[in-house]
Amino acid sequence: MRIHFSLKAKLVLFSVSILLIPWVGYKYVRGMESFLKTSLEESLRVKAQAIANVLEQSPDILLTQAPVLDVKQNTEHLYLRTLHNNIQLDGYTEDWDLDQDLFQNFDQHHLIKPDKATPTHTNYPDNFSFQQATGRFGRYLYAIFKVHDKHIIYSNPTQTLLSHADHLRIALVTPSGEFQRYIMQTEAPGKLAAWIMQEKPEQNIPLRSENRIQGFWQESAKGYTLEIRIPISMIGNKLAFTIANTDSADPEVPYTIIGASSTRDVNKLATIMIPSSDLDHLLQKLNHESSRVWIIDSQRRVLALAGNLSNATYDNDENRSLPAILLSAVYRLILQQPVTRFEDILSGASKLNGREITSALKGTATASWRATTHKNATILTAAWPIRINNQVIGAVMLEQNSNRILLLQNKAMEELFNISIPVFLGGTLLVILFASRLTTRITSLRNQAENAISKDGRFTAVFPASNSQDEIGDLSRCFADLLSRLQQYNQYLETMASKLSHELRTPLTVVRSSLENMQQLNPQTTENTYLTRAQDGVERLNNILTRLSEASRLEQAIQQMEKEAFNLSELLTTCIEGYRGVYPDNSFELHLPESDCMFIGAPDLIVQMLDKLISNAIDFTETQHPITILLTCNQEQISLSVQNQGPHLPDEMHENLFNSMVSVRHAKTSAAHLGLGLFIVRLVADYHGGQVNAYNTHKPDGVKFTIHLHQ
Amino acid sequence: MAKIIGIVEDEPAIRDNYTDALRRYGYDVQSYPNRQQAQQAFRKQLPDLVLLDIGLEDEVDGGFELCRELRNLSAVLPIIFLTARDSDFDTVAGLRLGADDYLTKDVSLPHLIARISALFRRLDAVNVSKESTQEDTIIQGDLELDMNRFSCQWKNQKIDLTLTEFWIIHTLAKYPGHVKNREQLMKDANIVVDDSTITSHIKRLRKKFEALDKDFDRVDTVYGIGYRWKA
Repeated sequence: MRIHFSLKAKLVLFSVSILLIPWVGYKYVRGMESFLKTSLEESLRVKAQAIANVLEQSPDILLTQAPVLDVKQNTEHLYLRTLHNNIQLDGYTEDWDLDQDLFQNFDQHHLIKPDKATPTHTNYPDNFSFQQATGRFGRYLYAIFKVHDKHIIYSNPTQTLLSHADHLRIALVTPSGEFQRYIMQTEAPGKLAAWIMQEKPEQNIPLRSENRIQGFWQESAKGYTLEIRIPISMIGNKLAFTIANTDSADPEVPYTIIGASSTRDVNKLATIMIPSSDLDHLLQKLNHESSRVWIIDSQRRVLALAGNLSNATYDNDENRSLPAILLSAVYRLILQQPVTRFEDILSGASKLNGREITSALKGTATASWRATTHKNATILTAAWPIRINNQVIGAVMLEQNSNRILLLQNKAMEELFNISIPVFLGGTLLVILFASRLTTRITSLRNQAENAISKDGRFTAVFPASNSQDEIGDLSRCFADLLSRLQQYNQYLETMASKLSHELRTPLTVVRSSLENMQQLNPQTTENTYLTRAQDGVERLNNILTRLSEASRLEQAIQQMEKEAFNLSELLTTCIEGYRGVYPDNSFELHLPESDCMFIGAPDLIVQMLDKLISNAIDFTETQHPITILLTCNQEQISLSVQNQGPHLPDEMHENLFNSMVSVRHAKTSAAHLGLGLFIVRLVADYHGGQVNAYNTHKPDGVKFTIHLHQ
Repeated sequence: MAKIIGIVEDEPAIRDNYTDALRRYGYDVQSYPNRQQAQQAFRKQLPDLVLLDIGLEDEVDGGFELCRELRNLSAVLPIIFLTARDSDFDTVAGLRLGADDYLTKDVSLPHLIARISALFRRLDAVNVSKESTQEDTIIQGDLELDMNRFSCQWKNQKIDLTLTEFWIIHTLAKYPGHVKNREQLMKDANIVVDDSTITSHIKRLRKKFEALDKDFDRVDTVYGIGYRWKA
């Protein structure tokens, strides 16, 4: 089935095409991404260069900073980050406001070779691992170890010396260059202090307790947490932590030791970088708020770090109107929003291994993109070498997340939507208004045109021509013109019969009087058959003319007719009696209501109408079938039906049947039929304010004429 | 001396035909094609009877004008309208103007001549003293019809009827109680008009009687068939 669209629907459909504008804009803004990325890379590289230049200008800050710079071995490195709040030594991690990704994981991959060649440990304890985080606050270094250990072995309180128990090993080089080793173990959860170990690393013999190194041992669900504090003043440029684990108090069972580097060999200790305030302050000043800057030495070790990638850069919703807040809420649903928190593997790193670092240390500045751990954000990295005396001694690495691009895009998108959606809505509204107006006008024109001619083909009302100057107004005037011409023509047709009869009557009289003169002049021509035939013909012509003007005479008579109350039942009874006499070959069945039916009207006209209906029924019925006359009568309405059995009316003639000069007779009959009989029926019905209808009836086939009259 | 009949008719063929026919019956005929000529001639000398057409050349209602003028000239001159216009409106207008009869051109020549001679007879009867025999009078209750003078009396008061109306009353009253259908009435009145014209004749008749006698109800309508005289 074909779908028919109204004019309005079509126009609205077309107006939807305005939506293409924001769509194209959206595509364009999306396309801007690569351009924005390139420009961001460029700006980041320039910034990195600027920082490198500043550092090159004041090499002192860099060179005095790190005595470890000369260490060339491929050792571990620990960059000590500054903590933002004081740490309570209580074994709980809540006061470590660092991100989870600051914790470094140590497990069986970080296994340290056992002390002695004696019994090789064959079994690695189940799930033994720990997470370590370090930081500096004030004059102390803080470290926390979250150890997973199924069997915690505490030291034996009865032994004065160190027991065979789970413990933490610390090794450091003091500022004065001494190599010191410490062990921290406890008899029960709670506060503990460190033991200084003998200088000889082969022997785990404690010298005395070292109270400056404090700690707190707390059992956790999976093992224990050890939180410690070491004064910065004790630490030189090297530091290492390992966790030694045993699942048995038996001294013969060897320890399983994991950690970043062994605490045995002074040369294998991890270097430590304690950031100086000078470099930090410099970087804080140089660094942009939403980026992170790293300074690394030629060994890729972190010398300084400033800034944070995870800065949220939202507009504040306060001081904005409610619609703006709602709108931005909608935009947040539609548009991809910057991620405020994400995990980055570099957050806790102390050494950097990226490609851009490698090439920067080779003297080439580069920029690259990498994803965060959970791929929910992208980070742009730019590195620039630091040259002193034409030698690359380190590099500046700047990082920025892609949020800025996203924010820019979103801003552009929001503005695009803010402009194009009102334009679209306004445009659509205009189109709808216009379409409605147009549709209304066309519909009213259609209704006017439909009402101008009634169902039975008569002109009902004057067609009101529109004054509008456009095409629809033109169409309306065209209709009005057309209808008035049609009306004139129709009037001409309706009056033609009486005009014709009047005009023909004079020549007919000439013929007639001439014939009569001729007859009187020669009485013997009376037998002349030709004369007789001519007179017969004249007589017939005369009859035809009389019938022709009958309708128009009736129309005139109706104007002078006076209404009176009479009994319709009685009238019908006498009339049918009369018809029985006039048409002896036909039979009539009259059905009357039980009580008398009084009606106010012109009885003569009703009789005349009945005459026409009966004569029509007689013409179409066969003599053996009765003609049925049915009268029903109630308070409001009277209906009078005349029904005969016979051929059906052609379908297309139902409405026209009652018009002037319309006849559906096929067979030629003796009497002249001009199609005026039913026209007279209609005139009479109209005069009484009633309607007349013709129906085909079935079983038995026939035709039924019904006149509905109102009381 | 032969009676003079004036014919005013713009159609020459009809005019001549009527002239010939009337002359054959021994009347002296003067014919005029339009109102002006007729008026001039009538001012000089009035004929004994005038046959008028309504539409005369370019004057649509010329006949009516002429009728009004003739009535001014003479109150007793018999005037018959003989016209193609058969509408009720024209019939009423013509008779109101004082015409004695209104015939349409369907009327046959012999009938026309019968009408004319009847009118003359009535005219003569007014002049001649009443010497008619009883058989020429139909008395039906209060109704008295004089067939010689074509005059009608109701309760001894004279009612002025046109010839058509007289024939209708005559037909009905001759056999009281018998229903006469419109065709019979037409045949007796010797006019060829349609049913509705008969209806209007009957109406006018009733009104004329009712003018004399408010309770007149003798002309009874039998719906669908015709009329009868209630005894």
